[in-house]
Formats: sequence, C-alpha cells, structure tokens
Amino acid sequence: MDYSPESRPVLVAVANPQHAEQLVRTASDLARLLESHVTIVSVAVKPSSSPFSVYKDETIVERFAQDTQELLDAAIAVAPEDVPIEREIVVGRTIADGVLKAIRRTNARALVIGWHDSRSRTDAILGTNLDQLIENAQCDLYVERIGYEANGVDSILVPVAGGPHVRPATLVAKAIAARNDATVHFLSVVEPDVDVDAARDHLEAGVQLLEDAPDSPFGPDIRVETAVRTGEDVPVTIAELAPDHDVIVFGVTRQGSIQRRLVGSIPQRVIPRIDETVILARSGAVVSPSRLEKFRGFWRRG
Amino acid sequence: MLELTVVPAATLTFWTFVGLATIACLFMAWSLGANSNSPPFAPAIGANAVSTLRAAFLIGILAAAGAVTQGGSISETVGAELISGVAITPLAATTGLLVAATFMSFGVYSGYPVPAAFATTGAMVGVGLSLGGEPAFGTYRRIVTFWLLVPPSSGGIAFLTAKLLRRDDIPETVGVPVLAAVVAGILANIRLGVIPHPDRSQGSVAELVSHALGSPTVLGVDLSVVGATVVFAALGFQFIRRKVVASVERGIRSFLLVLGGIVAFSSGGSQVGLATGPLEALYGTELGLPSVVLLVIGASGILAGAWMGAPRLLQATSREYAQLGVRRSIAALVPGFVIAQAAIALGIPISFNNIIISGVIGGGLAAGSAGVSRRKIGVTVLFWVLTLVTSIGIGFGFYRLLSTLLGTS
Repeated sequence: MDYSPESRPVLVAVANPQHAEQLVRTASDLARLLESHVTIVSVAVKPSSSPFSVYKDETIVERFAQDTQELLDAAIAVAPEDVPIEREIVVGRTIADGVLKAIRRTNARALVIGWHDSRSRTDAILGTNLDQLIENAQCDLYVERIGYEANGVDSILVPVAGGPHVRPATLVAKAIAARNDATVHFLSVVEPDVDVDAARDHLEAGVQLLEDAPDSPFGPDIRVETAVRTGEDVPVTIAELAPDHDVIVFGVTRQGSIQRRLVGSIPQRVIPRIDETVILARSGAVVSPSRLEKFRGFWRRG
Repeated sequence: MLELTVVPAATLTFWTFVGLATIACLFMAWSLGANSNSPPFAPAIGANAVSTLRAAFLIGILAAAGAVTQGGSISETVGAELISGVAITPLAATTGLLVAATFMSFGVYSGYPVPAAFATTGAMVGVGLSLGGEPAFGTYRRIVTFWLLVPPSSGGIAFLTAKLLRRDDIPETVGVPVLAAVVAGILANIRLGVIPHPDRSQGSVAELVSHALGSPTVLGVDLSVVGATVVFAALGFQFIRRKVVASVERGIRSFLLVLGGIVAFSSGGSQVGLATGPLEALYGTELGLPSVVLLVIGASGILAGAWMGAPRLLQATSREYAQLGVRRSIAALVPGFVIAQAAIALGIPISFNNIIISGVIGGGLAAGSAGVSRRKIGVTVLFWVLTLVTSIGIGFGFYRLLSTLLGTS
C-alpha cells in the first residue's frame, strides 16, 4: 500500500489495552480507504498541579511513562498487518489536551476514540475529555462505543438528516463495509406531517458522498440501499430498525456550543435503547481553533 | 401592643456577606485541600508504603490538624497586615475571597499553574487599597524576600539531601537517620496552638520544656530549648535507625511515611490562612468570635477537599515519584517541611506547590541531568507573577465596582 511518512495519519487514542483492538481496527479500516497510516496515541497525563510538569516532555516520556509504553506495545500487538502503524506518546495536562496536541503535531486526518456509556452520567454527555475533543479536535472525529462490538458485519445503518457530519459518517461506513463486504443502508426518518422530498434529498446526498469517497483496495463496489421511514418519534423509529443492522453510524447533530447538545438529541436518545456497535462521526470542518486553544498551545510547547 | 421584629436592611446585608464570605472561604479551603495539600503522601504511595485512599484520609486529618493548631499566624498576616490604616470590611473580605477563588477556578479549568498564595495576597492587597488603606511596604518586603528565597533554598536543601542519600561512603543506616534527626529537631521547635506560651498564642515543645525548667540561659542561649531539641533529634535518629538497620528498604519507607505526615500537617498550617485570612476582621472584630472558630471552618474545608479531591491527584503523581525513587522523593519533601515551618513561624503566606517544584528540580540536579524544561519553568514563573499583579488590579477594581453598585463604602 502507498504510504509516505508525510501523509496525514488516522490517529487512534488508546487508554485501555482491552479496548485497543476494537478501536485500532476501525482506525485501520479508515486508513486503508484513505491510503494513509495509523498512529496509535497514548497520553501521559501531567496535571498542572503536579511538580513533575516542569520536566521536559521528552524526559517525562522517557522516565515517567512506563505504563504508557506498555499500553502502546499491547495496542500494536492487536493491529492488522496490512496497514502501517506508528506510535506516539504525548504529554498533556488532561487526556483531551494530549490528544489535541497529537492532532496538531501530526496534522491528523481523523481521530478514532472510544467511549464507555455509563448510563448514570449526568454532568457530561460523554465525559469531559470526549466533550472537549468533540468541541475542539480539528480533524474528523469518530467516537466508537466500547464493548458493543459487532461480530461480523453484514449491514451498516447510517441515519441521515443533512448537515456537515454526513460526509465523515459516510466515509467510515464505506471503510467498514469494504473490509466486511457489507451493505450500507442510508435511512431518513420523517415525522408524518413533514414533506418527504427533503428526506429523499438527504438520502441522495449521502449516496453521492459515498460514491465520491475514495475506493477501497478490496474493490470499488459497495452495496447501498436507501429508505425513508415515517415515524411519530424519530429516535424511537431508528432504535426499532437498529437490530436489523450490525453497526450504526451517526453524524452528530451539533447545535451551538451548549454542552448538552454536543452529541445531538437524536443519537443521545437512540444510543441507550440499542445494543449494536455505535460510531458517532463529527466533521473536522466545523471546528475552528479557539483563542484559548491557541493560547494553550503556547503553554504546552517545550 | 403587638411588637414586630423588623430586620434592618443593613443587618440583612451584613449577614448576607457573612454567609457569602464563609462559602467563598470554604470553597477556597476545599481547593487547597484537594490540590496543595496532596503531594506529601504521593512518594509514600509510589513506594507502596500506603494505599491511595488511606493516604487521602490521613492527609485530610493531618492537614486539618495543622490548620487548626498552626494556621493562626499566616491567617493574621493575610487578614490584617497587608494593608494599614483600615480594617477589612465584610464586603471587602467577600470581594477579596471571590477574586482569589475565581483565580483558583480559572487555574483548575484552564490547566494553568495558579498559586493560591499569590492570588489571595494580591486580591487582599487590591481590595485593601481600594478601601482607602495604605500599602504596608514593610510586610511586602518581608513576603517578597521570602518568596524569592524559596526556590534557591528549597532547591538547595533538596540538592544537599539527595547528595547525602546518594553518597556511597555514607551508608543508609547513617544518612537516613541523620535526616530524621534534623526533622525531629525542627519538630521540637515548631509552634502549635495547643501548647501554651506566656507571650504568644502558640508555643513549641522545646519552649514548654524551657518554661517548666525556668528558662536557664548561658550567653543568651536557652539551654533547655537546645536540650529538648537534641533529645528530639536523638529520638528521631534512634527510631528511624532501628528500622533502617532491620531493613533498609522498609526503614526508608517508614521515614517517607512519617515525613509525608509531617509535611501534610505543615501544609495545612501554611495553607489555611489563605482561605481564612480575609475573614479575620469579619469574624474577630465584627462577630467577636475567637480565631479558632475561623480556623476550624477553614480546616473543615481542607479536610473535605483532601478526602474528595486528593485521591485523583495522588494517583496521577504517585507513579512519577515511584519512578523518581525514594531517595529523591525524600529530598523533595524535606525542604517542604522546613520551608513551610519557617513560613508559619514568620507568618508569611506561601504556595506549597512552589516549594515542592523547587525541591523536585533540586533533587533532580543532584542526580546529574535534571531534564527540566527551562521554557516550562519560565512560563510557570510568568504565571506566578501575572497572578500576583492581576489579582491586585482585579481586587481593586472589583471592590470599587461592588461598593459603588451597593452604595456602601
């Protein structure tokens, strides 16, 4: 496979060796499609209140990141063999901090990260680190639910309703479909009194994006199906259809910067109802570097 | 005739401020307990001498005890000696604490190193000046001199300690007990609120012995104080030596544990004043309460902060101390204890992290290459200075704004 070290990598952040295989596999699927490579990233967390934060990053990685090295070894051991893999340890004040730094340093094309859904969570939708990444990561972002791994993939469901996040959602759907020879189902759910034409437009746009995406080395043909469904309650309708598929890919429906809406109300209400593999896709195009981020970058260098 | 109890507006406002100021004080104490008081036990956790949760429990108890028995002097400096000519009013106390607490929150939120001592001192100076007080230049000179001396002394003590412990010609069965003797000797001389003293509110064990023996002096030197110090040092030496002789590793771990306890106690004593100082006038003069009431409030905040917030930070830093090794960990803690006690004796507000950072660097230099980033040190120092300067400005402006809005002076 073509691979130049300069090409923009697909990052995958690992914090637990048990989850590494699932995440590295998704990242490898993407890298295969994008003819890129995977960089496995792990963060050595160094809070500002720690006296060790005055050490050079290299010193911290060299002397104080033993567990992180072991974690990366474990992650690389489970990676597929046909995709080039690199590794990187970054030092950050928080996990999100370190991952954002790695994105900047490698000019990453996409980031794959996992999340555990603890259903009792009230203060943050996905946890503060993930919320920060969803808000600030300047590349396409894929958040995969840990532990609900598909056992063989025949069918991938992509609910669409327009917006910038359909593109990355379509891309990962194509990447996974290519490896598994699976079918991608685009779905648009409309409420009974709403015009169906808009829904059809969304579906067409999705199919077009899938065709525009790079072709897989396994072969150009991906089976695609589209469907419009009518339902009183959109999340309930999606959740009812989910068991017919193995993987559900949502584009986040980000509205404003209010934390509660980071993930979007529809995925948020569907996800707890289903047991399938879930991937949330967020486009990098919607993120611009905030002033605080630039300022933080100044502090973190060196 | 029916008598109606009417609460005058002024009284209502006053009590509102008492409530607000106390909440701000608790918040400040909480964050001090969660952050500043945590490092002492991290080396002991790293060396597997104690579990994280037990360490957090001990930190809370010890730091709270230190706050109540040793916190008075720094609290007084922060509350009354930074500004001359005016007493801090309830509104001013609330404003000062709110400004300092906001700085701390900013530090936690943004990940920048915001030192509590600089934020509180700056805010209280700003508020005091805004009240129309005169700057107390004498106090500032003392405080700034001490602050400037902290990095070289902490780094220096850590450097020497690490060198001593690393020398091959000094066996561990001598080096570690000698350090224990020094620490115990200082312990005999630290002032505690529970020990009575004829002239001061706090006395030391050595002074108590001296007083009991009628203070015999030769050439101006109090013999019994020297005697008590030597006895303490000898006991400390003997206690740790016996353990080190039995097993070097376990002996060092015991010393690390005892040292962690003493440092946690000292840090409570040196930090609580940052939360309670601004309320000194409010509680002492206006409410007429003994100063221990305020210290107990501060101590409760520190206790809660340590129990709730410290485990996370301890887990994050203990691994680093484990990699650093027990000798350099001890080297980083010894100056923490010495300098915190000196600051308490002089009534000078200090940032604990500042001392430990210098200690870690000093201990690192003793090992040859420190691997310390000049840039990060530069940015850290820059933040310390910025915190001090901006907290003065914000304290000044914010008090002016509030007093104008509320129509009080």
